[in-house]
Amino acid sequence: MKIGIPQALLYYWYGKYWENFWQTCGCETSTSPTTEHKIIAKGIAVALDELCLPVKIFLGHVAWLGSQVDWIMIPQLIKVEAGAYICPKFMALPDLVRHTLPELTEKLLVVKVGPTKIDMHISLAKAAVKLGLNPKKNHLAAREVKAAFSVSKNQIKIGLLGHPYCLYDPYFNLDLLKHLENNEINYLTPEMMPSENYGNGTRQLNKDLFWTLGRAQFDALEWMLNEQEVIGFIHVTPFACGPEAIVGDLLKRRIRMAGKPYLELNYEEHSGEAGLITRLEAFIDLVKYKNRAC
Amino acid sequence: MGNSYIAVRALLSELGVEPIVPPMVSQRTIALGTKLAPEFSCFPLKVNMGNFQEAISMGAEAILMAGGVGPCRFGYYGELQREALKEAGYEIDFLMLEAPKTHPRELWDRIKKIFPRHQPKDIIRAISLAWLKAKALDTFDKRANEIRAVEKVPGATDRLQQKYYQMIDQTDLAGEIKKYQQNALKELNAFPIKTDFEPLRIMMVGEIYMVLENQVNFQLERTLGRMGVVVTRTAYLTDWIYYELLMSIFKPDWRRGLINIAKPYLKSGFVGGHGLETVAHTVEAGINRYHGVIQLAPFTCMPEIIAMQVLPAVVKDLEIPVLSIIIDEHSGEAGILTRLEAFIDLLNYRHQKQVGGEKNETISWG
Repeated sequence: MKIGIPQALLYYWYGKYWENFWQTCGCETSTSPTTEHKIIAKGIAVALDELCLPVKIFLGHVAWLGSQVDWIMIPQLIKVEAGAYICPKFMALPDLVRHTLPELTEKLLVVKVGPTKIDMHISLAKAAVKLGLNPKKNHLAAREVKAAFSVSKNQIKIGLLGHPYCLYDPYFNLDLLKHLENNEINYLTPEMMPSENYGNGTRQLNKDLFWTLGRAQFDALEWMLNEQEVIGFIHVTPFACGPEAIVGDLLKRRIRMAGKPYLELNYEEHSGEAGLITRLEAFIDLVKYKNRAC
Repeated sequence: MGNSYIAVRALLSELGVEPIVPPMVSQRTIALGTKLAPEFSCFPLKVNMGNFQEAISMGAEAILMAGGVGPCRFGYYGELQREALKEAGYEIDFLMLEAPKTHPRELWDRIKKIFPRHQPKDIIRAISLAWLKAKALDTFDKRANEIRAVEKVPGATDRLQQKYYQMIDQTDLAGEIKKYQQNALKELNAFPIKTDFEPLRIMMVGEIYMVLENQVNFQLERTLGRMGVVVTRTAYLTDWIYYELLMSIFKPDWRRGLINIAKPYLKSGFVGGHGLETVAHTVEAGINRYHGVIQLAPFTCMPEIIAMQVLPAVVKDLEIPVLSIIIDEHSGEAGILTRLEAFIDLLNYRHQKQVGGEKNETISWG
């Protein structure tokens, strides 16, 4: 049995775990390639205009897998931690796929996490039992931290804030990370934060945030401000992202309070690379200048 | 939010504070709000920010704001608005009606601090009066939407509605409210009506603020009424309070009906905000042979976008035309009106084809 896993959305957190799970069940897995033009074009063609780019990309990946596998895993992540949702669009992901790609309805393998039982392994196991498989215990940590970081001393560091699928999908963010590396800038992402810092940032808010990805960014921001010598921040968001409209505003206020430069990058399917490079270079110049002046 | 200010004013006056009702939402309100609110926040938040600033300039000292725990963004409005207003230099107290992070008792302390009259009997009296007013307004509005489409004297319903709103707003006696309601309904039902045509019936679904606040949805009910359309609104303040506040405590499973009716199209059930309601009511409209559905949504509203993606399937299966209107600070009245007229034209044409009757000439564009 061949199970397809779309390399989009929270694949960047849980992907390795998912692949490992299905492989231990004796299935063959097939992960869609990193996002490319064909995939985005397909997603845009089938989706409603109002949807955000990451969801369109996800739909493109699902369509790509369509003809090649027996089952396509659709993670319906309602909650992955207590007291916080991810986004309404994640809650309705199977519905969005069914209505945009009706020809694949038979192939969808929905893995529902939450809202009451929050355990990735149990949810996966339930889906496996439905297929008649015998799920095995998996010893990997569920949330795989994507990038270990090494920072050389004399380079300047910039903090990147944003959802994992915005930061790690090079086609989405027009190779932002590569551009930073070319400019000899070190960057930190929320995923690089050591796990003992979970909850540090959100605790300082008056009211608990109820979006997991927003919480992760706040924790990361606090860690970057206090423990790392970060001299500027870039916030990477999809155009018209709901939670980021609120979270971004709170982040911006916190960063302004700390007196750090801040650049907000909005992405949608019409983003042009030249515009990005111009803004990025201007920002890097500013950060470097500010750093020397101090 | 629509006429809810009347009920809230009654509630606060009874609790011993002087409520300040900001002026009706205008272009100025929206401009003020947009200046402080984040660019991609949803439209209700922006309008609210404008309301708050206008209220503060009229002398308001505290803001009463509800909260929530997501996933809809409304739950975090209060926090964001407080921060943004503080940054803009406004000195204002925020009373958040929600369980505080530290201890539930703290909410009670906050309430006691702000309201001079906080004995249980005062609170019960205030709530029952406000409820009575809200109920009286909604009962009238429901009937008014039916009569407006067929009234012989254009604008008669609207004039009566204005008068009635004022009367309800000014009285503080339960008996008078009941009397006004009876009289107004009697007067409304006695209006001369056109009997020579069957009006179109349209269901109005979508995000609750957009549906309730006439000033931001370009008086949709009134406009449609004048075009000879009976509008069924799916969101009313009293219904919202009854279900979202009371039933959530006593019967948490009240959504089951909605989930079941929307199930063939929206398997996920609750998707935050009013996404589920939008889909469920559209299905309901299709089954009950409504002539059309109008969905209202603020720009970037996540639950409504999901509903919008799902609705084409409902449209196809149940053969019910749906018009989705997305509103934000850049929406223009002429644009909305053009689309509405085109939609109604289409519905009329479709209706006549189905009925097979003669062409109907009595419908005039108001």
